[in-house]
Amino acid sequence: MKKILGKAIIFIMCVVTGIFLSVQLRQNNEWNQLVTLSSIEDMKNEISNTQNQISNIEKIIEKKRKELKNIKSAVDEGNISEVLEKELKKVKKIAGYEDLQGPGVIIKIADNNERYIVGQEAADDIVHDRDILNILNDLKMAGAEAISIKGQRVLLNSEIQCGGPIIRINGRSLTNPFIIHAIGDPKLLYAAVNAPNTTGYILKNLYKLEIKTQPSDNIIISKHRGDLNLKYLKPVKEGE
Amino acid sequence: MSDFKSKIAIIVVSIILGIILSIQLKTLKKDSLNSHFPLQRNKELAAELNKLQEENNKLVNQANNLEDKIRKYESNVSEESDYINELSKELLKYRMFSGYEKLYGPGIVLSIDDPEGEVIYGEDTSFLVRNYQYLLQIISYLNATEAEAISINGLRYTAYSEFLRVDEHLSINGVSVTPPFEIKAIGDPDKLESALNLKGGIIYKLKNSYDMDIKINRKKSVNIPKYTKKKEFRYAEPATNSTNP
Repeated sequence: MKKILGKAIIFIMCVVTGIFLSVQLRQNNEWNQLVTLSSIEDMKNEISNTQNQISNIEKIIEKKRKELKNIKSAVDEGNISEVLEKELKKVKKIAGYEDLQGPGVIIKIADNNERYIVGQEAADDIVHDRDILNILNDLKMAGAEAISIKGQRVLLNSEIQCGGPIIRINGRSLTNPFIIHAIGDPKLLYAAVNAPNTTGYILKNLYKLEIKTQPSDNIIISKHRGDLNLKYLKPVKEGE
Repeated sequence: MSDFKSKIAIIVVSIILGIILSIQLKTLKKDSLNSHFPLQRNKELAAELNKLQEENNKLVNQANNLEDKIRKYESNVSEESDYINELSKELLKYRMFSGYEKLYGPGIVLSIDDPEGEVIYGEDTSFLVRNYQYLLQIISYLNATEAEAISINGLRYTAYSEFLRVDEHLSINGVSVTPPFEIKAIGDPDKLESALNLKGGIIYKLKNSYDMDIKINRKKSVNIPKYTKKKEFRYAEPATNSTNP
């Protein structure tokens, strides 16, 4: 009888300790698990992003203030056309309708012409539209200011499309090899194509495409030849 | 004797249990005290983010106001002479093209999302973020069909818009976005839609091979915001001699 009583007491104590334990641990878990570390990282990212945006907008506002002052004085003095011409030239430069020159890189991308085939089929050995797209994206990431492919200026609405044996850019057919000119910081642009795990690196080392990058002090990129015809776009007028 | 033995055993076990317990609780407490409570930290960050976003909105408004004032001046003087009128029309055209105007026009809205169950919680990023080249290809398709302006999740696509994978989201124009993506394009809606729906094309591939959730809607009027970053060339200058390569 005494033995059973003792055992019962121990049993009850164990149950009580167990409950205490689990309650205690669960509470601690709540504190720690509701917010994962990665979500905090996300939040931090977002904050630094927003900070960047803010500093950017502050710069824009400053620029706009200057512009407003310029235009005010121009209206007073009557030489508004000069201001507009200057502005037009600036926008055309950004839009790709002006010849530009500056330091940058020249990249040659060519099919793998070795006799043996690297992948499962010959299609793995040639330059595809998506390869060019990815390399252009890498170049933009590295801050390329103007890009042309075989003399075709890459505009913001330039398509890079496969058309069988050719790649179509700005409505023109281009064939292998592809020569890309890019203006920007030569070091950064070089890295954008050659650093490990970039598209260029993978194409070069895995698919054995021929990729040559050459920095240059002076690259001339010609403007897009053609008129700008907009059929569908209309500006939204604010405050009217 | 056996009673005594079992009592000792229980005492030893209890002591060990007690030590383990106290160590466990102590380390938990130490951790969370040293690096704040994660929850609290998160709240702080959220508050900071809110404040920054508010400031951002205010500044955007301010920039828009200034822009409006400039526009008013320009439109006032453009009535003065034909040349100035022509000039400001030309300016508007290139501004619209290169992303410095808010735009509207007929076009399509394409929404694309990861397949359900593809994202494993805490394990990896989404398929679309990992393979953002498909988004590049969709944009190239739109451009091939003469889309005149394109935006992704409210961010204008310009000649300088880059797609950059940062952890679990994409950075476009320096702003991070996550799926679902909404791509808007202004152009001929019928042409745009039929080009995207090409059998064997990019949308076909994404739908059939990867089970993506894609919807394409033709719209009479699509709104596309302007590019909010300042673009200034640091390396490129106007070419002085006209000898082209």
